[in-house]
Amino acid sequence: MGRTRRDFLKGGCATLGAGAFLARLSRVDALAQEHHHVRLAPATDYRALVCVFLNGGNDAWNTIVNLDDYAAYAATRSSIALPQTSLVPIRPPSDGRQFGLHPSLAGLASLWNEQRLAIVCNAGPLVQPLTRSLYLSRPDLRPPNLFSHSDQVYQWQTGATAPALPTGWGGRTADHTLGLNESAVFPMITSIAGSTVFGTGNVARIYEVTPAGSVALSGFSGSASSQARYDGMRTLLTLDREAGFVRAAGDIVTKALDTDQLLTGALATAPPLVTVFPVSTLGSQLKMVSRLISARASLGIKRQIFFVSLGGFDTHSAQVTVQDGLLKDLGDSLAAFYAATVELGVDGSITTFTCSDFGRTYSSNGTGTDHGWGSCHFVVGGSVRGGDFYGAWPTLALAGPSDSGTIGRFIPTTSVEEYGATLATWYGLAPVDLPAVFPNIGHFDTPDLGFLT
Amino acid sequence: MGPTQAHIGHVQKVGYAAFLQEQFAEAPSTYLDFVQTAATVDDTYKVNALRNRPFINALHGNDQLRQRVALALSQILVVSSRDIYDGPGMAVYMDILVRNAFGSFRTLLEEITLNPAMGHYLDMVNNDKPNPSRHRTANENYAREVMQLFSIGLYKMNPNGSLKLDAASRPIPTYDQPVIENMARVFTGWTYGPLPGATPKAHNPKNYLAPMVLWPANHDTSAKTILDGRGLPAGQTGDQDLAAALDALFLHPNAGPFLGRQLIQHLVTSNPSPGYVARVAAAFADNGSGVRGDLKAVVRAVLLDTEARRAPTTDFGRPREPILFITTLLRRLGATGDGWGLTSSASNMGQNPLSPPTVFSFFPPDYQVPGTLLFGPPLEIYTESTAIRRSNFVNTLVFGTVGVPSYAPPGATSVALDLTPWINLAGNPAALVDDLNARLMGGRMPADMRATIVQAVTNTSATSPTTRAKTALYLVATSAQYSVQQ
Repeated sequence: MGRTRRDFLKGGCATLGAGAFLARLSRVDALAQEHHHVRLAPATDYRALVCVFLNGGNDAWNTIVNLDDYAAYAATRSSIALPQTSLVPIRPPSDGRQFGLHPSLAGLASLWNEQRLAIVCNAGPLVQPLTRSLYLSRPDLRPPNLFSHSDQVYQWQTGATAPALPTGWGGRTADHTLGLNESAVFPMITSIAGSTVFGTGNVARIYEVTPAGSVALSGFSGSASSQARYDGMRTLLTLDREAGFVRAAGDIVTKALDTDQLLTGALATAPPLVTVFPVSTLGSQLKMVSRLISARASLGIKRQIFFVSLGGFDTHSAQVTVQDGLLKDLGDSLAAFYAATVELGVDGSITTFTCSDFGRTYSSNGTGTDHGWGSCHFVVGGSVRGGDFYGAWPTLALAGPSDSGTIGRFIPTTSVEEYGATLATWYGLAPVDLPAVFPNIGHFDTPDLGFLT
Repeated sequence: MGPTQAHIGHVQKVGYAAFLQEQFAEAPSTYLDFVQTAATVDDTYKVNALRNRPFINALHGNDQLRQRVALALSQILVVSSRDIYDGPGMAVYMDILVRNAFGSFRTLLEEITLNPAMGHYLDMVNNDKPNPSRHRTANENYAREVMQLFSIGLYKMNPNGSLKLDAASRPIPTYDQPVIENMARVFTGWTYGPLPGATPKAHNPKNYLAPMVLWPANHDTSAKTILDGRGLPAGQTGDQDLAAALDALFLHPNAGPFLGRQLIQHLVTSNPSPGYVARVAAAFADNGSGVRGDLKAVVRAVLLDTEARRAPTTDFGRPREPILFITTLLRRLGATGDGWGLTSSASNMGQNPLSPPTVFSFFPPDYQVPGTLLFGPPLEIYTESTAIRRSNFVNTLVFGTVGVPSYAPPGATSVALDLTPWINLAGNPAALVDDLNARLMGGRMPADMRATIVQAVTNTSATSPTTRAKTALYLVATSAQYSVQQ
């Protein structure tokens, strides 16, 4: 009935419809995937990955600017170009040129100088490596539905393009590393930003909490009638599970009830943090992540994956103003979070990384930009080989060799698979399990980009 | 928005078809007048008035079906008050959906395209023709989303909603990037309507109360190639280009199944059979009198289809989304009150009325329940936090008091439940549960669920009939079984 992974690889792209929609219709194929499963011994050390998803597609080309070629940048980006003197200078040794960070990211400058911040250049979904001429002559080799928010978010979070997958690479990594947590009751993946396919595995599911913690059930006391009602409610949750919606809804409530007490108790006994976080969308989420990390001993957990997000990056208009505020939240929150990990003594154990739907067009539409493709991303942590670029900075020329067209939608030279594989391997995924988490990893040259020790 | 007991009795008497006719004829519950005149307190932008209107309509308007369809349309042709933080502006947008819910989809598409709230939301307003010397292109936002989300979707469909496949068994995109870039140039030259008495300019100041107007000099008049190779000749006006582009979308074979499948998902079931979709698409194609895009015919086809009317199978139906969870519960239980103050509960459950996080609405139509093949879009926002908050809302409704928010007009009320009917039945736990089965679950409560609740009521002291009534209400309303609309 279902196809095996071998069939997928044999047939390549041509045998399978691309796209998230088809993937979701052919879920049976994914479930039938054979995969090696290495039995991992319980971990003795603690490690965590923190995915910071920038929703809407962050414009990479005003986030990091090539200062050595500022004149060309200002000429092309005209109405949205940032003033030269406002940019925060950085010089990546592997590239050699001088670049400038967006002024709102001043909070990251010290992380760069301390070599705790790495920048991965021109990353994005790819089925296989592409040049401009290959992109133009072979539409069948492109990822499906480029430049569409929902599809590109999906491809970033699932770590797959064609064939598409119905699970996230965070979830699949968890599926293959559950043994590291031995018999921990607390789930491996926690989202502070709601539902996300990133954390959905074949078995793994996200556990969702708010920036203020888990939500407690109200209205029950120690009275007999209250107990009768509570018992009735718990019994109802065990019934009628042959109906898919009933089972799904019931499982969520059950998990919420079972985990809330454990989590609330653990948070209450964890020592309070001194580090001050920005009072902001991302700041409040990362603060909760740091509190959860501080409670890891009570939760009995050695490996955790966290998901947070910041929205508003779809700057079709008013880009300069909007990105100004958003990147300030990002920079200050990442800096505060790193400081918190230092305070907790786990800075070497936590790796935080950004993702986004796409970068944006190098040329503007007036006050903003449209959907692009390749983008640049930040990796922060004590185990990061920071202060440098990884991957290749694209040629920022319209209709140039890096452009997929004429307005600067740059073709990535680093795939999501390579980015994710580097992170997942550090996390504890066994190399032999890499193809199960990233089926197309064999299409690319650099499963370890080298930004982690 | 959920039937009342009276409604159910009436439908049983006159039949579904006649009931639909009555609903089509009911006067629309509109937004603008309400939002502009509501005496809300410290509500400068009248956004609180706006967000409460769906609940107030639901509890008091007679046009229940129109409201329900307008709610569905607001999740397909999306503008969000999160970004358009303007009550009257959003009200004008909502009234387009309300007014056209049983009208022509072509008219709906055009009115939405020229609506200024939509124009600002998706950057069509003041989108000027390209300026190559400054490397400035036309804004692609509306061009992309009007195709991807509002009319035809990403892939060519058969009438039954299944994807067409090419010779290599791959789905076939409906458009590619060059089409988007050309459509972006179609939608150039429009600006806000001039304020009353003002001299029209190329870029008029923000005005959400009147349709956008064309400033011809800013429209790109070069030739364009849009959908399926259709060429728009050079020299056309902005109106001509716009009409031709909307015609192309409206006439595209995808329009019927693309819209039809989503309406089925919003109104009836998340997993319609291909046959069901095909029948609804056929109604879109021809309403029986040779007219395409008649939403009245489409809605009738959605609600009267045999698949909608027969006894439900196990996975038939749709998870209740927060707004409808609240309104259905209140209406079925005969709650009284104006309806102010339910917005924060809906928002806590993941659905702030008229305020979705993005143009992709609160949940996508193709969200699948993890580990299954079932589509269940509303479950995408059903997480640990929102699920417990849903139960906590029921607790407040049944055991506590739903408060009136500070912004509500003086004298406004929220909602209240009169528990008398169930207190009167509390002496007979089976009868109490049977009543809730009929009232809330259409008589379809599973036997084991019934037994469990009867037991819980029985275990509650008979000297506390109020507690017994509340126990039964709470257990049904918070159950996973009830969370599915069938």
